[in-house]
Order: sequence, then C-alpha cells, then structure tokens
Amino acid sequence: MKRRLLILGVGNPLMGDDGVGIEAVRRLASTKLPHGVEAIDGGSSGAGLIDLISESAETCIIDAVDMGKSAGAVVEFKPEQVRSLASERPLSMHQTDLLGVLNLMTQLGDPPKVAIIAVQPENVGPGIGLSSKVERAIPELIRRVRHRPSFDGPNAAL
Amino acid sequence: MKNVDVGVHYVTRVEGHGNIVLNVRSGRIEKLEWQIVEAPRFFEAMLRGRRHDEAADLSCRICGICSCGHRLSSLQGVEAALGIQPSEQTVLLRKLLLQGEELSSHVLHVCFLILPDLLDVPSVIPLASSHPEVVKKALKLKKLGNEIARVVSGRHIHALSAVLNGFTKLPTEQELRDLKAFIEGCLPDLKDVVELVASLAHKLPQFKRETEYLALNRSDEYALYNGDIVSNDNPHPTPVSRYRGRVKEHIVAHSSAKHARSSRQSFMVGALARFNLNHAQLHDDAKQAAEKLGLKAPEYNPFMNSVAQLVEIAHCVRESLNLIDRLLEKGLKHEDRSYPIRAGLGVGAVEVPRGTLYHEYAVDSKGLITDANLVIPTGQNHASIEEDMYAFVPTILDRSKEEITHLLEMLVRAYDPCISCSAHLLRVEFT
Repeated sequence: MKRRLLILGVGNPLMGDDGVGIEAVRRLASTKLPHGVEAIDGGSSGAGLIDLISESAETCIIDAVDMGKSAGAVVEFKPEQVRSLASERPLSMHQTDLLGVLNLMTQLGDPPKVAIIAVQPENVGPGIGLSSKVERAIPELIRRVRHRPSFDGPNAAL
Repeated sequence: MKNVDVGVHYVTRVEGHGNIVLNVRSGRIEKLEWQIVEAPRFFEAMLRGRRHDEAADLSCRICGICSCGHRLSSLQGVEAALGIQPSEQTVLLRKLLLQGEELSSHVLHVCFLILPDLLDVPSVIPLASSHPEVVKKALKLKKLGNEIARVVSGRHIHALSAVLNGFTKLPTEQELRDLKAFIEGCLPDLKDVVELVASLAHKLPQFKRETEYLALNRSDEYALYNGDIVSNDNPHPTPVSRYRGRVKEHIVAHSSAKHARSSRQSFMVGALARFNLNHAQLHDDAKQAAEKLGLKAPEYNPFMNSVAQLVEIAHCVRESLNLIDRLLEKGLKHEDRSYPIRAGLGVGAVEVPRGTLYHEYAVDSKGLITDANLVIPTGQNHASIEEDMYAFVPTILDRSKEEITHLLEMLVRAYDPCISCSAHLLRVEFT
C-alpha cells in the first residue's frame, strides 16, 4: 500500500458548491500531514480514482452530495449505507457514479475501506466559489478527517 | 401502424441533460430529440477577464475525463494568441500526455460502457462477477493511461506541470524507462481485449448513414495533438485559425443547444471520423487491430465508433513507446519558459477522445482574456446524433419499446458524449 490514509477531495470547482471537496483538501494539503497520510485533489474523474483508492489502506472521500438535507449539513457514511439515485445504465462515462466505481472494486474482490464525508450543497450551478453555508462547513469536514484513528497512525501517543 | 413513446430521462442535476425523446404516431416520427445542455457557454464566461496564464488551470476543470485535452487545447490557443512557439521537447511531452488521455478514456468507454451492451448486461458491475479477468485487464490498461499522465505531468488528474511554453517539472529518464516497461507489460492485455471485442463486434447494430467526417490531419503522423482540419467532403486542409469557416455553429429552433454543420446539415467527429480520414497514418499494430476487428475505411456505421476507439488504443500504446524513445534519445533539459505578453487572437485545437476540441482566445495587451470560444466535440456531434436517430428509428419500429429504447441509448453511447457539468453530483438516499 502506498499510503495509510488517503483523503480524496472530489468535485468540480467551476460548479459552485460542487468544489467543496477540492477546497477542503486544498486546505488540508497546505498543513503538515502525518507520514502515510496524503490529501489529494481527485477532481471530477470518477473511474479515474480507482488506482488511488486501491493503493491506499483507507480512503476518506470529501464531496458535495445531495442527501435531501439543509445546505451545509455534514454527514459521514459508508457506501453500503446509501443507495445512489443515478442510473444503472449510463449514457456516458461522464455519468459514471462514484458509488458505482466503489461497488465495482468490491465486485472484483478488492473491497476498499472507504468513508464518505459529505456536505449538502446549496448551489451547484456554474460559477467559481462556495456558498457561505457550505464554506462554513469546511472546518467540520477537516475536524472529522483529523479525528480518524488512522490519521495519526498506529504509533500515535494515546 | 405503430405508436411509441420513448422518454429516456436521466436523473441529473439540471433538467434537460442527456435526454432522449421520441414520439411516434401511426408509424411517423412526431418528435425526436437528443437533449443536452450547451455547457461551454458557462465556462467561456468564467474565462473572460482572467489572466491568460489562468486559462489552462480553469479549462482543465471543465471535464474530469477530457481534462488534459482541454488543458492542451487551451495552452495552444493562448500560445497562438501570444505568438509563442513551444520547443520540440514540450511538444513531445504534450503528445505523450495526450496519448495517456486517449488511452484512459477509450478503455473506459469501450470496456465499461460498450462491452456491457455487447455482453447483454446493464453495466460493468455484473461484468465484474461474470467476466472479472476482462474488467481487470481494462483497469490495467486504464491505469496505464493514468501512469503516463502522472509521470509526464506530476498528477494523474488535472495535469499540473504542463504550462505555457513548457513544463514546470520534467519527468526523469528513469521514470520514462519505467513507464516504457509498464507499457510493454500491457501489450498482452491489449491483445486480449481486442480479441474479445472482435468476437463480439457482430452484435453491434448494422446501420449505416453516409455523412461528413471532420478531423485534424497531418501527412506525417496520425493527428491528435495538432493538424489542419479536413473532411471527406472537403479534403483541402484548413489551418485551425480559420476553423469558423469549417465548423459553423447555428441556433436551431427546437433545441437549446446549437447545432454545427460543415458541408452538409451535420457532421461527425471522434475516433470513427479520425479513422476514416487518417487510417493511412496509423501504426502497424493499429492497422492490424482494425483488420481483426473488421473495421475498414470508409465506415459509415456510427456504432463502429467504439471499434475505432479500440484501434486508437492500439495506436496510442505504440505511439507512447515511440515518444518515450524520442525523449530518451534527445535527453530532457530544463528550458526557459519566458515569453513577452502582447495582444492577440489565437486558436488551439486538439483531437480529444470524443473529437476535435477548439479553444479560441482574445487576449489584450495586459495579458487578460477578453473573449473565449470553446467548441467541444459533443456540441459538434449533436446534429449528427439526431440525424442518425431519424434514419435509424424507422428501421427498428417493428421492435418492442424496450428494444427501441435500448438501441437508441446504444446509439448515443456509441458517440461517447460529454455530459460534463451535470454528471458529477452524487445523489443518494439512506437505506
């Protein structure tokens, strides 16, 4: 495994709040991270993330997710706890669902250890910049990442 | 006489994305639309007022799959506006980066979207159980594409180091040698995937519509990174700076997106167009793959676009090896990337997986972008998809509604359309 913990921000910073994952990871990456932890900007590449995830013992994905909650709400979940509302038979690779990608890895016999830290977006139309409710959620996202047992590693002082 | 209503409506963030609408009454098509939003306009607005050296960083975010292509086309457009001529080393590295993107994208499309159709399963997920070896080979080939991007550009998504007039960081010779070994290790997997698709290609719908095909062209290589615009109707090469004379966008009453025409009412871009126009410049491996797959120019079946993509995968693998050899032969050197800023107008054009991608910029004397025009391949294919549907539907009206729906979806999938800005947002419900 290349790394103990991968913090993967996904989304499109040109589409409003869809860039929240990218911004969270940008802030994390500018701090000193423990050895074995990497914060990576995964962009909006969907199936392109398989390699990064399979090289990591644990992955924490930060993303804007429509959960039907109020804007800025932060929810952490595992892929098996949700049902994606995307189509099973996509028209295009651009519709390749992140959850579908994770499911694929599981079907191939290599189930990744993944948690998703999700933020309910307010506005995901074209535009650069986060809405204030979503921007205010970023410290909470970062806090949840830093408090993961795997963040400080097995030899961290108790 | 047949009455049929097909409404393929995909759950997306904004209404009207990626929808197929078909209404047939008494055997006559009353309404037939491929609805897709006109994405580039938003991004053009975002680019206006920005510094010329921000264009590539913004453009590469337009699309997660065609990220590199946007970046390269954007760099070319700004360089053309400023009169910058990048060095041979820069061009070789960019070409290698582009091979990586073509590879990744085509492998994903052929193996994750088209193979399920050919194997009669709804998606790649069941394939992982029924044909795990194929899926693993596909992932290995896709990883190859990502590795090329990572070695050349420092990151395998949204290429970092490719900038105006050069690269901020160069790969080491050892990294290039390791990459070469990895590519060579993938050749057997590529052969297996070609053989599998060759055995299934007869299941693609037999449908032909003769039309105009446009692509960049060079006499000395299979044009991907640059070239002049040619078509079968008009083989006289047009420099990309004069693309508006060949790619004519116009508003259509029934659709929110513009249609594009050239010599006829529509034209097709992408792998099939490139194959039809430039097959003579393919590497031998690719020509052999084409033969094995039953692909011969001129091919007028749009479903064969995916087969052409597989031929291009074979070409890009060989081309990557050749490019690495050239770079190792020359040796990599740090180069001066400075350039003077001046006002200008320039067009960049690159063959990305889905077709020709144009980035046109107007830059003022302070180096700010005053105007931008992006012409994406899917926008150019929009009218072709609809014309195909109009010709295809009457030949399948005797089938069930489910079959008609599936066949129309397959037709759209064959074009590998870019539904970029709508597709990312994950929507879930808690179980």
